[in-house]
This record gives sequence, structure tokens and C-alpha cells, in this order.
Amino acid sequence: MLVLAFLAGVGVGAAALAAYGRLGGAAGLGTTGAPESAAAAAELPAPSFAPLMGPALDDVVLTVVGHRMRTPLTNIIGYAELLQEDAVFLEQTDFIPDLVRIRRSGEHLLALVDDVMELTSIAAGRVELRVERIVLSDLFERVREALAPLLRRTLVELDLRDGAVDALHTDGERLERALRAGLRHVVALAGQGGVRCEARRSDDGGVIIALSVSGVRLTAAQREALLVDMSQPMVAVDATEPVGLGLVLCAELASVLGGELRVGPADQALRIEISVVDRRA
Amino acid sequence: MAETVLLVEDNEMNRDMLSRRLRRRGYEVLMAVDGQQGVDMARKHLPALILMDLSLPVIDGWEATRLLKADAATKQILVIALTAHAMRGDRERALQAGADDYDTKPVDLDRLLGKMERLLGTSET
Repeated sequence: MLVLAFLAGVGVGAAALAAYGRLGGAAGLGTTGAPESAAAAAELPAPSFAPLMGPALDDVVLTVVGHRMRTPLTNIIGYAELLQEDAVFLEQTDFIPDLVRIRRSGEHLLALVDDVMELTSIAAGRVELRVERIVLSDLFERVREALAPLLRRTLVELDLRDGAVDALHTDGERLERALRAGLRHVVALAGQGGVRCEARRSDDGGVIIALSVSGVRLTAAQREALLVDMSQPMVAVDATEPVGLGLVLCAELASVLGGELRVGPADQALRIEISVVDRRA
Repeated sequence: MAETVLLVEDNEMNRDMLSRRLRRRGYEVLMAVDGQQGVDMARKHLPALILMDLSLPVIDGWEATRLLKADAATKQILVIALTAHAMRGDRERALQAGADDYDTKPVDLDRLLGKMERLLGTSET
């Protein structure tokens, strides 16, 4: 019933809800006990729809719930920012720290929704790679622009270097998402230091993008913990920074792109490498 | 003189908050609630710039942008498409439809204002 109420709240269609009702409805029909209800039920025509299960359910989650969840979240973030501006204008700055917390929590939740949607899509096997020629410097600029609010807030300097890699053939949007997810996490680990993102060719012709933070060293235990639970920034500037699923999603997307994610050795400057296949061939 | 911006957005709260923030920064803001109304208002008022949501009723933001850019009377109006991060391919489709730039929702106002000022040539820097 909770699922029904939730889906009704986010606007899932009547047919889909009816299908849900049929899935869990046997006990409900049995408890009415009214003879006229049983008679009415007996006259109902055969269902003209299939129960919403498996891939169809995945479609609802991915295409309806995800987008419907984004809208109220963007409203929460937007109104929190609007109220922040009002507080400055009205010289009632005591409210600002709480408004900042509301906004950042909204951003964090939105990042999680976006990442969960992407992860759900991968888990459902709905990944269709759209391979195209990607100019790495252009992709880095889009990543910098997307992360601009986070960088401004954390005062982290992001140094993006395409190195000797001019271009590669891969799914550009997924590589961009992988970098955004990885960098969100690494920026949260970096404190107010600097993050370098540098690309190079691997021996097998692929591309490795290394994210490194000079001011952070992981102990062996911390490195192990990071590998076990990549969704938790351990040395975060602020617990409400919108890390989303961070390295979890980054690792999954790297895998989708034919590569992997590696964490550098302990007791050295934190280094995370994302490898991807160049599908030029 | 204040620049006139047409905000085409079907979500009432998005319209309200973005229009209030833009007016506070000196823009005159007109609003449309669907793609067709956006095209009609653009033809009537000839704003300097349009902020165009893409997922709109009646006609969507891509089609509205195509119509405006194909019309000699409105093709000079600058269009910034507003897309969602989660919507794969929106950005490319918006640029193909003729949008001059794009930005993502939720809007980061500093970033959006930077793009608007750059297109309008009103940046002080």
C-alpha cells in the first residue's frame, strides 16, 4: 500500500496502479465480505492489461518516478536559495545557516536520485552505449561547469589536464557522468586543497583519467574502507556536500565503458584512476 | 533599460522562483506556461532572451525553439534551453534545435546569469 500511495503521489497512471492493485489485491478483496461486492467482482471483465512487473516496473521507476522526484527537489533547492537572498536583503542573516543546510540537503538528495536512476538503469541492463568522438578538453570544460557551484562552495581548486590525449571514442555522456560522480566524491575528500584530474594513454591504447588530491593521504584501513563503501566520503568538508553515490557510480560507469576504477596505494597522496576503452577500432 | 526575458516553464514554482530572482537583478520577466504560448508571446513581445524549459505541454521546448529560429521575425531572439542532468541527450538536441546555449536544472543562478550576460553582451567584466 505504501508503494501504491507513493506511486499515486508521483502521478503514475491509473492502469499502472490498477495493475499494482491486482498484484497485491487478493487479500483485500477477500476481506470485504460483502456478497454484493463479490457479485460485482464476478461481473468484472477480464483484465486488459498485464501486471506491472520486471522490465515494465523498471520503466516506471526510471522514466516516471525519477523525473517526478526531481521537480519537487529542484523546488526545495530553488526556494531555499530565494529565501537566502531574501534574508540578505532584509538583513536577517541569522536564518542563512539553516537555509544553507536545507539547500545542501536538497542538493545531496537530488544527486542521490540522479545517481540511483543511473545505477538502476545499469543494473536493469538498459545500457546502450552511444559511442562518439569525444574531445577531452571539451568534456573537461563541461565537467568543470557542472561542478562550478560545488567548487565555489568548497574553495577547492580543480586542475583539469587533458595531457597528451586529444580525443577518444566512447560514450561521452556516460564518461562525463563518471567523472562528475568521481570528482564530487574526491572534492569532498579534498578539504580546501586542490584536486588534479589528468588524462593519459594506457599501454593498451585506452585512456586513464587520474584524480589526485595532494593534501589527503589514506591509511591502509581507510583505503580498505573506501573500497568497501565507496559512497561515504571519510574526510568530507561537510557531511551535507552533494556527493551522491560518488565512487560507486563512477566505478559502475567505468565498467560500462569497458574499464575499471582503482584506488592508489595507502600512505601516499590520494589517487583514484578511471580507465576506459577507446573504441576507435 | 531593463532587458526583457521570456521564461517558458510549465512548473508554477519554478516559474515563480526564477522570475522573482531575475526581477531582483533588474530583468523584466514575461512568462509562458507551455511551448505554444511561449512561441506566441515571443512573436508578440520580441524579448531579448528566452529561457526555455524543454519538457513542455502543447509543444515541447525543442519544437518551440525550432519554430522561433525558423521565423525571420524571431530568429534573432537568444534562447537558453534549460535541461535536466538526468535527461540524456537533451543538451545536444537543444543545440540542434537552434538554442544558443543551455543550462541545467536546478538552476545555479550565478552560472545562468553569466551565460545570459555573455549572450546579451551586458557583462561588466
